[in-house]
Amino acid sequence: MTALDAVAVHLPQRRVPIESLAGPLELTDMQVRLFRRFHGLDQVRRDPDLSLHDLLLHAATGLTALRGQEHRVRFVLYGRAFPVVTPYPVNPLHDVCRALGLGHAVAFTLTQQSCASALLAIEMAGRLLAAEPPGRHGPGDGPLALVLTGEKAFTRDAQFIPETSVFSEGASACLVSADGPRDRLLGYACAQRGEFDVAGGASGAQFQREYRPALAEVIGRALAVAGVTLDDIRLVLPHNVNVVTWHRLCRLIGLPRDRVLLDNVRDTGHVFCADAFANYLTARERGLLDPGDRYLVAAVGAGDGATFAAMVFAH
Amino acid sequence: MPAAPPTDLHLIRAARRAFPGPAALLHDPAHREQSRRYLTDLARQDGREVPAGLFDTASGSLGQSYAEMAEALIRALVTPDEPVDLLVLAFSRHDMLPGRATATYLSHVCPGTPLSFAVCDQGSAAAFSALRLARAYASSGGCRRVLLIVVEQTVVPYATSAPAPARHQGVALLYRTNGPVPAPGPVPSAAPAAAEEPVAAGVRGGPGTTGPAGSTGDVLDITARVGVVRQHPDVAADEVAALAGSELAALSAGHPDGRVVLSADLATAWPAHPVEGVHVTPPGQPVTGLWWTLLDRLAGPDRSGPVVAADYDPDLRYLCLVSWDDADPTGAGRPDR
Repeated sequence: MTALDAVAVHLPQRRVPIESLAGPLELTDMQVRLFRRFHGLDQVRRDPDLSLHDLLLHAATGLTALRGQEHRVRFVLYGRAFPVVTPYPVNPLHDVCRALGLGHAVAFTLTQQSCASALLAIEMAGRLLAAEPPGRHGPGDGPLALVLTGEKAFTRDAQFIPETSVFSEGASACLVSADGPRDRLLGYACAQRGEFDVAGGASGAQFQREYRPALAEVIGRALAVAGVTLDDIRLVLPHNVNVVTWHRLCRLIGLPRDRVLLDNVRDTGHVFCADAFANYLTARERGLLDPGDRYLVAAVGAGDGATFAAMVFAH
Repeated sequence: MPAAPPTDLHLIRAARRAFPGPAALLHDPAHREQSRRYLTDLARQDGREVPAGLFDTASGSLGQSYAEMAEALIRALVTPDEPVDLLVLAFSRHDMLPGRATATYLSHVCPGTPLSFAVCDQGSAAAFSALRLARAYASSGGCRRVLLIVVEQTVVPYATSAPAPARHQGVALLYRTNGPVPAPGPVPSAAPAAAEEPVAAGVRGGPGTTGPAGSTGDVLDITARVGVVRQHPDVAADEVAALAGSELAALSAGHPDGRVVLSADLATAWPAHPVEGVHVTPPGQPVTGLWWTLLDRLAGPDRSGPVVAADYDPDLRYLCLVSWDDADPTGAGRPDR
């Protein structure tokens, strides 16, 4: 069963109050107040001196469990919200792999599910590992996959979502195994709504109407796949799009707000695909998960098209 | 945890097309401006510039959209009564509308509303990874059909060291998994002609061609099972010949009638490659060329017997191989490596 063996996150130290974004993004005072008071956003992390390569490398080198285990890594999957982030053929993924001593691994990017691409990467990492030929490895010595996320706010679309959220730069690294003992993946569900693409014909108003019901649907499906109910879920690790979206979703599905870890919304805003991992580490640091607890991770990728995804894990 | 038993993927039909530029969506000034801004910011990160005025008008120099190319291939290839469960889009160079979640859009236009995503940042090896992902996904059961689409287009709007492909081109491959699958209805008529251009002279469909007469591309019926998929990362140029030779020997063992398709880049890296039974892909299409040419071998008049397709990406140093044999829905597949 797919398992998360270790997680690390790197966020730039430099904190930028959302008021400072008003000028570059041409936001009105009202829009900034809306972000702060209504959506619960306060600041983002940005550092123009850190390249995408730096972010990815910092996250991966923070993964102490990787050290000495590089030879076990068969795959490196880079789950990314923005499909294209460097001019061709610049390839920070492979540069980082070489720097980490992972040149022997098959490395590629999974994308075009926007900010839900990280959950896809975990799912696919598990499937690739399960398809590996049986080896003579003992317990704790099986093949691994490294799932990376990481993005720069390099263009306007990667800096904020109008009237919805603001992005932080950041990266994460996660070691995935096919049989690890902790944070086992019990269920995954995904729904894609390509009609919200620029060529899809659906309206923004329709997207707003269908956003929460669609997220609720994939959450329900992930729970069903996992064989649990919402009552069994100790904690929800959300995408950090904003607070109000989650409060409304809680009302829709009957989930107590205090079971959703929303503290990082204020501290970082939306860190693209890395929200799940940042929130996971926060939950661990605060002792919010006990062994055996079921928890749910949810992500929505929205831009051109929309992807709703949810995963259930056993801690 | 034991490895999941591999699920066979049977290639049942494929479409290949060339496309003239630019993307239809780039006729819209608003979309041109959005692309200009994105690509300008993209290039600026690496100290490159997008030429001023490039996006002022719609012109052939603006390049293509992978959404439009792939959509045309889907409409030509997949019938409404053949719901697809997984769609994987593989590319190396980005297209000219790079901010779109193209695969998510393709899920909307593909029968079955499949789980869809893109594989990239791996050069020409991305298509092989897509195949491995497809088989891994199918192994969990409940997956009837998989659609893999490989695309490349010629334009990036800034200086780059990478040579441009000769033309915008795409190949879509429709697979089914083990088990009975209802016979499909008629293959759909061709996608909008405005999006296509005639295939190059000498390229033709095999006897299974069901594309329109005077074809702007081919739709080919194929019966071939994916055998072994192998990816060797970080293979230095001076190691290619030995490794490719040993792999081809291993994959062709016991099949003196086997045929081989080598990508142009692999043939360049391996000048002394064997020639008997070996077909080398014409140069100019580093990502799609192998798959385009492979279809001739899988659907051509001499299609019996196993086929091995092999590729080398000289920049990212992946050596990849895939073997094909006659479809045998009851046979067991072999694991990837």
